[in-house]
Formats: sequence, structure tokens, C-alpha cells
Amino acid sequence: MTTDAGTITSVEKVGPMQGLGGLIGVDLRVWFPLRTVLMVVVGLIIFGFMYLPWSAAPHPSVDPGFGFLFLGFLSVWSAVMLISAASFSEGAVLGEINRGTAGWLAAMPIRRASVIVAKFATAAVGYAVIIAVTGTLVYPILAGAVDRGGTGFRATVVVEVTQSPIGMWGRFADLPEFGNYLGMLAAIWAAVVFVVAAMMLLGTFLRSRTAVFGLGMMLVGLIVGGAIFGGSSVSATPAGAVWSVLQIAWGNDVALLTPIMSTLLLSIIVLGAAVWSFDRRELA
Amino acid sequence: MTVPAIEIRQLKKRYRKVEALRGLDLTVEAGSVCGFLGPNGAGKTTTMKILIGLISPTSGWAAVHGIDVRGSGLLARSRIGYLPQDPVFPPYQTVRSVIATVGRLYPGHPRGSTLRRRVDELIDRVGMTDKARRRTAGLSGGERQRLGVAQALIGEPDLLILDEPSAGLDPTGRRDMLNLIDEIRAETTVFYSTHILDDVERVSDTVVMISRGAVVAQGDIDEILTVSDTDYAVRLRGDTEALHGRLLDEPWVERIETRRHGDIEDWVVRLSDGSAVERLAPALVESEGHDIVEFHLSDRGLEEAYLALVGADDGD
Amino acid sequence: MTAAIEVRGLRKRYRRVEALRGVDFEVPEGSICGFLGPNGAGKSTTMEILMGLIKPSAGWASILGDDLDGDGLMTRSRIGYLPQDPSFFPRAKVRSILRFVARRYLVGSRAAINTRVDETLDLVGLTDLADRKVKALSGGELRRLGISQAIIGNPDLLILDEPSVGLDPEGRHQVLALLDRLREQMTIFYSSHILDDVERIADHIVVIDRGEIVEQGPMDRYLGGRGVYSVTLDVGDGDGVLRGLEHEPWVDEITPMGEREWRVETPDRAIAEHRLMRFLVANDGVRVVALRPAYRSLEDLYMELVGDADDH
Repeated sequence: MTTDAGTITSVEKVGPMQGLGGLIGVDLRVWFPLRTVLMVVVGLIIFGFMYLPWSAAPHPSVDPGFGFLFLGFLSVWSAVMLISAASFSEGAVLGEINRGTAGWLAAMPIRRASVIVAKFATAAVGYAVIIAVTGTLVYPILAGAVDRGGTGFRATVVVEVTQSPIGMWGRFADLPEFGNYLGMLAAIWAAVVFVVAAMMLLGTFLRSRTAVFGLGMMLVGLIVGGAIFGGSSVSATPAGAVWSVLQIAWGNDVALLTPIMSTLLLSIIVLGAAVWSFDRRELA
Repeated sequence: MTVPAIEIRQLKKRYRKVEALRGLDLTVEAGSVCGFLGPNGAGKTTTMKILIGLISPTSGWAAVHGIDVRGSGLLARSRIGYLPQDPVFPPYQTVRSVIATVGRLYPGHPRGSTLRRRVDELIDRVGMTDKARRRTAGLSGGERQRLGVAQALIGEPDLLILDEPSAGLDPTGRRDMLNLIDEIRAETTVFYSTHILDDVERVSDTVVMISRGAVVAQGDIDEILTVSDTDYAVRLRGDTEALHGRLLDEPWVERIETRRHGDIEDWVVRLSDGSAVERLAPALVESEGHDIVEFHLSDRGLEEAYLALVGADDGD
Repeated sequence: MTAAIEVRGLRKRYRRVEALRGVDFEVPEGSICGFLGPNGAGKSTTMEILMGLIKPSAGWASILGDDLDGDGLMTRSRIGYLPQDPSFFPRAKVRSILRFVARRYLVGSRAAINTRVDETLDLVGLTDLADRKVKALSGGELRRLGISQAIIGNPDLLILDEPSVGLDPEGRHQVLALLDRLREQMTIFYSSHILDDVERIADHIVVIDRGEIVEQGPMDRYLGGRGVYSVTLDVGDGDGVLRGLEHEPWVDEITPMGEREWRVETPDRAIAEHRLMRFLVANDGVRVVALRPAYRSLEDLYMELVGDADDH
């Protein structure tokens, strides 16, 4: 078929990931710019909520130190990132199946694996940008906070409550160097990516979005719980990735590479299961 | 003169930017079955919803059996049975209880055993006896549509307004719906919208066609379909060129419209007067090389009439 | 004759319901084949299996010579499909949807793809709505977008699940005209409830009821073949003429239908078309005012086959 604008022919060969490029193009639009900007803003707001009370006029009698800000921000922020990953990905697959667009795509010369991989890849890229941008924007402020030295926390009530069960001020770490700090961000990202993969898998075989969301939230709960209470026994899991981040902020010296790599490996396995399961899903 | 079942004068309805009805005038005589036709978005559903009081017009007059639907909406409604486009019922109620519930809402409704008997009669009439105890949640599209008609009839309305009663039905379901409309025409005026013109041709007495919020044609279906007695439809197969030329040379042939599809050629031959048909028939068989498949007075179908009246200015 | 679609012993069982109970049929290449049957008979299920959207419980099907067991991607690039409830990315514009679909089926420069998109928009009359978002389209417009995305890849086979549903008469007329224009280029397999439309355009039919094929074959076989006519003569000795006609070897039976109307049955339509009018006109003193084929309509056939199936 020839038109004025040049020849146009039918597709003549199909690749192992036929359709991936086009689908990534579509899914990127879901993440950029709206969702990405939104989640960066959410991260900055969380930081602001931590930073503003902390930086208010110091009280000489209490001094939770820089680490209080650092640990507080990282723990709340990573929990919110995990929850957002579950919320955003809850409808990624099942929403598309229910709406009928998954069937529409699958009737085209598009490999079904591409649908899953495109969604996963764009979410992974989206969160990489969100976490890197937020983390980088926050870093100089954190550095400034360290420079200010022994800043205190004014609200004594909070200190009393937090002091008694924890009761070990001063053990908090200094701000890590930027390279190591990026490693911490990567660990949070790895845990988020795992949640995304798990949500994809749930969406391929469950029939109710409520169920997908509920199970996703339980998973996030397990990861956050594991990161707080799990100790070193969870270290090679997604919970371990977050646990390591919090430990470093706490001042303990733990390795980041193992939990990151094992979490990413686990994500790939879960994603493979999602592809397998989606291939068998009836899209009618 | 009897009061018309529906009388609408200069009815207008404006939504924020769109003028859905721009001065609609229509009359539906009591006791008739009237098909309401027009493109999607022409204003059919809007008109029906105004009659039933679901929305109020921007201006104009609409009356059901002489009762102003704006001033005395309740009174008007008590004489109307209505089937909306996508009927929705409480999912956990049974077929029987839906109809009974609606029945109790009409003023002066019968109670107790009389109501029960009427409900059962109607269920039987729409062919749902074996589904009377089913919950409405489990009904198919066709069954929901039939339940919709039954609940519209329970109040013994003088006017039945059906918004696309055949939509989504398969051919059997559509035939049953037509038969039902045909059966109830003795009891009530029926005003129904549809896209299936062949169905309209079968059961309606009158039609109203609207396009872009205004009526483009209304009247007896025969009137709308009739064309002059000088136009003959001829369907030929084979080589028709010579015949075409020869006929055009005849003084009693005014013109010939031709339309070819495949090896079939359809002609509409206009004669100078109706009696010339006695010359036309022999002229057609004078030469060989073609077969005569069909020959009769040209009667445009409702579809053709519709496309001529509505199609021309149907922009989108 | 090769088959564009061939189906053998196809079964599909959902938990409690057997949607297809051994379906066999074929759709010849180059035909327009109407797929008829009541709601719930298994039309959509069959089409979804052919498109690889759901898996059959048993049986075999081949589509454009490729059986369903493989990944079917190469075959799917030659098939256009319109599902019963077409849905697209709700926030995308009509034009970008078509561009996306075109790129899945066609290879060419950006300009060539855009030209193809414009052509297709024009073909289905959506040019004015090209920049509208999908979620702002009406039901009829959505279906037209569905048809346009099915034909944009210039497929060899078009599978349409109720392309006319929800369209007004004008829209239906356009769909028929479009299918008629496409018939030279592709095989069309489409389901519909509007039997008059099918009768007008299809040359093949497959009728399914409760998960089983109850009839299939060329439309002529059902509607053509025998020639049955209604003849109206308005002056002269009509009865005498018809008695004469009865002696002709190509006439089976003549029944008076009214004062001046007769029903003439012949075993062969082609001969009747050639001879009947000529025979009638050759009789002096009578005037032929109408000759109408009175063959069985598709609706008659359908009602005979599945008429009283009722909802189940």
C-alpha cells in the first residue's frame, strides 16, 4: 500500500516483546509528569512536616539530634512510597482487564508479556525519578541541619513519650556521604519496585480490585512491620531493604547491596509469575 | 374531537451549551401506536423524560391527555406507564415484588388479592411466569426489558412511553416485544422510540421523526411511505444498457434512476402517467439479454424515507 | 475454496455453564459471513476464542490458516477485531488511539501512518472528532472508533461483534455501506441481531443456538434456489393466464392469494427470472402491475431455527 507520504506495509515479523515500545509510550504518560510531580511534592511535604517542628527554636534541655529528623523522615517517607505504590498499581492490571482495554490490546499483535512488562518498567522508572528527585532535593537541607549542630526538639511532651521507650538519644548517625545516601534511596526504591511487581501479580489472577488493594496493603504492612521489628533476620527480603535504611539512619553499620539485589531479584521472579499468569487470564 | 394522548408545542430544552430541543411540535392521537424515530442525540429521550416529569423543559407546552405535565405532573404521571432506556430495578427484589411495588404507587391502586392477580396476569403476559420469583439482579437484558414493560403496565396507564424497548434484544426477543406492543394497543396509546425501522413498519400507525431537537416529519405511516403512482421499481439482472436507452426514448418515460449492486440493477422508472404501465411491462421483455427479477409500484421503505428526511442534515 | 476461519468441535465450559458444546463451522475466504443467534448463544465466546482472548476447553480452530495453539501474533496482525463493548484508553484522543493501533499493524514513516489514520477517520466519518477524548464520545461514536481501529491495519479478516448495536438507522446504513466497500479486500465475519441488515449484505450465514451451530452455508441456499413470486394482474382473465402458466414445465405450483394476486412457486429462480415476466406479458388482455419475489426472509429462517428458544 503506497500513499503520498511513502510506503506502508504490514508488520512482517514479531519480536519476543512485540508491542513493548508502544505500550511503554502509553504507560509513561500515566507517570509523567502528573504522578511523578505529585509524589515528589508529597515527599517534600512529608519532609516539611518533619523539618519545621524540628528546626524551630532549640530548647537547651532536650536534644534529639540530627538523627531524629533523618530517621523520622526516612521511615515515614518510605512507608508512604510503599503505600502509594500499592495504590497506584492496584488498578494497573485489573482495572485494565475490567475496563476491557486489556482485551483490546491482547487482540492486537502485541505479546501479553509486553503489557505487564511495560507497566512494571514505567512504574519502576517513575519511582526511580520520584525517589531520586525528592532525595536529592532534601539532601542539602539535611546537610545544613547537620551543620547547625546540636539542634533540639522543642515539644517536651513528644520527647517524654518518645524518650522513655527508646531512651537512647545521641546514638543517631551523622548524615552519610551522598554516594551512600543514594544507596539508601536505591534500597527504598527496590522495596517499592517489589510492591509494584506484587500488585501486578495479584491483578493478573484476582477478580476484585478491593481484594488486590487489600492484599497489597497487607503486604506493605508486612514490609513496614518487618523493617521496624524484623531485625537482621529479614535482611535479604524487601522488608530487609527498608530495615537496612532505617538501621543506617539509626547509626548502625549494615550492608545495603545484599538486600537491594535480593529484593530486585525477587521482584523479577514475581514479575515473571505475573507474566505467566496474565498469559493464561481470560480477557473477555 | 378527542383529546390527543400527547400534545407538545414549541418545547425547548437547553443544557448549558447544547440546545437539545429547539421548539418541538408533536401530536400523538389517543389509541394509536406511534414510533418515535431519530438519530442518537436528536432529543428522543429528552422528550420522553419531559413527558414523565424527570426533567423540566426550558420553555414550551407538553400535555398528556390534556394534562399539563409541568403544572400537574403528578396527575399526568398517574396516567403514564414508562420504560426507561436502561431499566434498573432494586437488585434483591424479585420480579413479582417489583411489579407489585410499582402497582402500589399508583393512586387508587387495587390491594391484596386483586393486586396479586393483576401482577400475575402481567407476568404471564410478558412471558415471565417461570421467572416471577427471580431476583432482578440475575435477569438477562431481554428479561429486564420485559419486566420493565410489565411494571409500566401495572398502573393501567392510558399512555405507555417506551424508550427503546428493543435495544439489545435478539431477534426473538424483538419479535416478542413487537407482539406485546401489538397486543396492548387495544388498551393504551403506545409511544415508543426505536432504531429498528423494520419493526416500526410492522406495528405502528403513525411515526414522528425528529432530528436535532425538531420534528422533521410526522403522520400516518402509509402517508410517509407512499410515493406517486407513476414511479415503478424494476429490478433487472444482466445486460440492461440497450433497454435503458430504448426506454428513455419512449415519450411516456420521463426519467429512470438506476442503482447497480453486483449483477443486479435497480431502476425507478417515472412514467408520464400511471396508465402507461401497460406499455412499460411489454417494453421490458421486448429484448433478450436481461432477466426481470422484480416489477412493481415503487414504495420507498421507511429506511429510505428516514434517510431522506433525517439523514441529510445529520451532521455528526 | 479456502476457509478464512475453520472451527472443529470447539467447546467452552465455564464453571457451571457450557457456553459452547462442540461448534463446527467455516467461513470461506472473501465472504461476508453473518453470525446469528440469540443473546447468550455463544457468539461472543466464539469470537473471543478466535481472537485468543479466552481459551477453549476443547476443540480446534484455525484462523487464516494458523491454528490457535501458537501465540498467534503473526496471524493477529492480519485480523481486525471489534469487541462487543469496545473500550479504549479513556483519556486518549481519537487520533492518538488510531495512531497507536496503526503502529501495531503497519510499518512505515510517521507521515505514512498519519495519512493512513486520516484516511480511516474519513472512512468512518470521525474526522471532525479526531481531537476529541475517548471519554467524551457517545456510544455510536465509540463504536465507529471501534470499527476504524479494526480496519486501520488493512487486515485480511475482519471480526466484528455486533458492529451496529446502539447505532441509529443512519449509522447502521453507514456501517453497511462500509462493509460493502470492504468486501473486495477482506473476509468479514460479523455478528448481528438486525436480520434485515445481514440479509442485505452477507453472502454466508452461521446460526448458533445454545452453544451449537444449527445452520450454516451460503445465503443463497436458504433465500435463493427456489423462486417464489407474487404476481398481480389488474385487468383481463388472470385466472386463465395463470392456468396456462401452470402447464409450463418450470412451474411447480400456483395458489390464488386474493382477487388479482397469485403465488407462483418454481424450482429454479434463475429460470423464473428469465421466463416469468415474459410469459405474463405475452398474454394479451392482461396487464401486469406487480411481480415480487416472495422468498423466505432470513427472519423466517431464523425463527424456524431458534425462534422459540426463548431466554434460558
